Amino acid sequence: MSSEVKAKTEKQAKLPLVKIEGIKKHFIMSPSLLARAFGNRDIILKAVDGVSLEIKKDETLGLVGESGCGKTTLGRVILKLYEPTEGKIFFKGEAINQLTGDALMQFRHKAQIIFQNPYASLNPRKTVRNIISVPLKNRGLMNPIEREEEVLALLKAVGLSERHINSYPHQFSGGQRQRISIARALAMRPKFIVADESVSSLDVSIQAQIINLLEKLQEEYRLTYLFITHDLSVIFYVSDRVAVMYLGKIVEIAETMELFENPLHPYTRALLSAIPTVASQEKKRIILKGTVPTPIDSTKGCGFHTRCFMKKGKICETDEPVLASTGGGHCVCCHLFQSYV
Amino acid sequence: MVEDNKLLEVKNLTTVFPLRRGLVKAVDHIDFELREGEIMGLVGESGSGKSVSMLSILRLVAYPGKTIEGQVFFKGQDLMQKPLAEMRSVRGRGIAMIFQDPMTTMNPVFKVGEQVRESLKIHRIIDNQMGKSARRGRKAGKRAEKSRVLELLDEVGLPSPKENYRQYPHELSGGMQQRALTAIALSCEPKLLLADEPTTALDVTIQAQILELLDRVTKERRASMILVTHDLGVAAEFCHKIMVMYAGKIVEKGPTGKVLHDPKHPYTRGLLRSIPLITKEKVKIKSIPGSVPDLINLPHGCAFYPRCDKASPGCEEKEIGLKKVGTDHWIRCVLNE
Repeated sequence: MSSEVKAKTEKQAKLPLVKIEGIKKHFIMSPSLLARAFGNRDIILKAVDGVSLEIKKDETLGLVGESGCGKTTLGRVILKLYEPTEGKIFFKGEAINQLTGDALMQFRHKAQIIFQNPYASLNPRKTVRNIISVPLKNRGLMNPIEREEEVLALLKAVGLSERHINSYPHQFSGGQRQRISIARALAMRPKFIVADESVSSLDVSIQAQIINLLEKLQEEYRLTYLFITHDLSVIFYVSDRVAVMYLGKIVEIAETMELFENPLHPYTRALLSAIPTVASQEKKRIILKGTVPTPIDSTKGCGFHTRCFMKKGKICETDEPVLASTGGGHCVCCHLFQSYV
Repeated sequence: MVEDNKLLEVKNLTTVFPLRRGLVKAVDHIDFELREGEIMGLVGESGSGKSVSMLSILRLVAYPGKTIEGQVFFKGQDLMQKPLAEMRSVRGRGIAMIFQDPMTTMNPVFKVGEQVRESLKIHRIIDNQMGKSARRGRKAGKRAEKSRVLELLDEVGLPSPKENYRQYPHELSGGMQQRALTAIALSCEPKLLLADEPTTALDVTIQAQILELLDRVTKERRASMILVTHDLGVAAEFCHKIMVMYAGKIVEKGPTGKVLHDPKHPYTRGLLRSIPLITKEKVKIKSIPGSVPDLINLPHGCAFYPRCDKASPGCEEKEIGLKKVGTDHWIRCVLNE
């Protein structure tokens, strides 16, 4: 290896695998012609509203939030499945915003997704062989015998047996289907996988199987995960770092232990206190009032001020807090902690 | 034991679905009892027969399902022997059910308030309260019902009852729909609530709100509740006792503290080990291998046998009964024979 290449790879190793800067994704909902005649204008839904974060190599970043907070949209924007309205995405230090054609395909080889619903994300008319072969063909594995071998190896890696190769998705249970989805994602030999609520629809005993499988594969294939879920216990178990999202923004991000032991943002505190747990420990539950406001014409100031139980004062309604570090990689987006800046 | 303290007593309840492929025993000889003011958690994975047991109690199991055996004593009367017309007056009024998915339970073309009023109307709650002599025509009755509905909507914590009354289900969020459903269930002051996964479709913060609501209303009314859930955490924080089901059978039942902190059945232990716990140190989760068995042609012995880590040759041969392992604590396993 020449020194130049070596220097380059070293540089790459220090870089975060994925880095996003100021990502915004706004969906524009056009009113009907009639409504427009009455002067209604386009409605803008701010699904993701200014998110910056880094995902280091080999780590699992957990992204947690309630439904409608934009976590799935963010996951898809990172994979360029949605075009961001604003902001930059870097993968291994390379900007991928402008990628098209072959270059985009190359990126897709490296970054894959496992979807939420294993019942909807597999084509019911394709056999398992077909489902897993397509990405292999895309990867350039044209020899059918080699391809077959690879399919079998993948099935084995995800804990399915050879006899499943000719079966159709409906012949499998939810957990097995999720294994097929994982095999399909792995077929590309990716470096980065977005797992979007991949275990949410499964029963606890099966959920544990899939979580353990994902952890095993992470070690074997040196994968980096963005793990999106609303289940805090799962997030705690799988993640190295956790980002909490609310109304299209990251409100807090920290190392997993730090976040769970020392949550700063009121929303995180409420969220953590709301987890029902088997462990017999006394705790005070913070019950939030109301629901998440709509991301359409979102309010001024902090997005959480309508439900916040620790409101500082007028400033929460007028000024938008920024994500500020409180040391040790712990960042929080709240006026209560803005003095740290 | 004080006999009249028992609100519900289920004996040998068995519901089957005769399918072309064979007979599915969705609920297989379950027994339990519930006292006044008690909350019982019914825990199990999908397909274990939790929902069907609840429907069987109300005799709402749809064709081809059929309850072929067993008795359900509610306030001392066997619901299985009741004529259908009488059964109707029990449903909603004596025992009310809160279904799992609020989005599909409500009728999308009727206003929320009207749907709450419907059960008041059917059970003639207001008419009876006003008495025949005081009957002031339909309009007055309707007005009285409406004001009762507004009270109910307020009680379940909907933000603006008057406005919510006029709204259609799709205009409410999931949590608000679940509140409206709770209002329907509470409208006739039932003594027993059957809540079938009331919070599964909801976010944690909303889940906490709904659980708090259910806790409050059952306490205020001294009503009992069976909470069906697959979330052991919810059951742990909320229920006085817990019943664990697997493949249509009760595998363990007892007081919450005992079942969750000193579980005896390998399945309950397995379930508890597979939930990630939020503690100071990461405890490795262990999954239960395999998946829930096909309910057709179940083995004669223990249905959990193929997945069990404590399985012994005797497990698959003979039928295993519930055995007492402590005060009110029962398990179905050869380990404790």
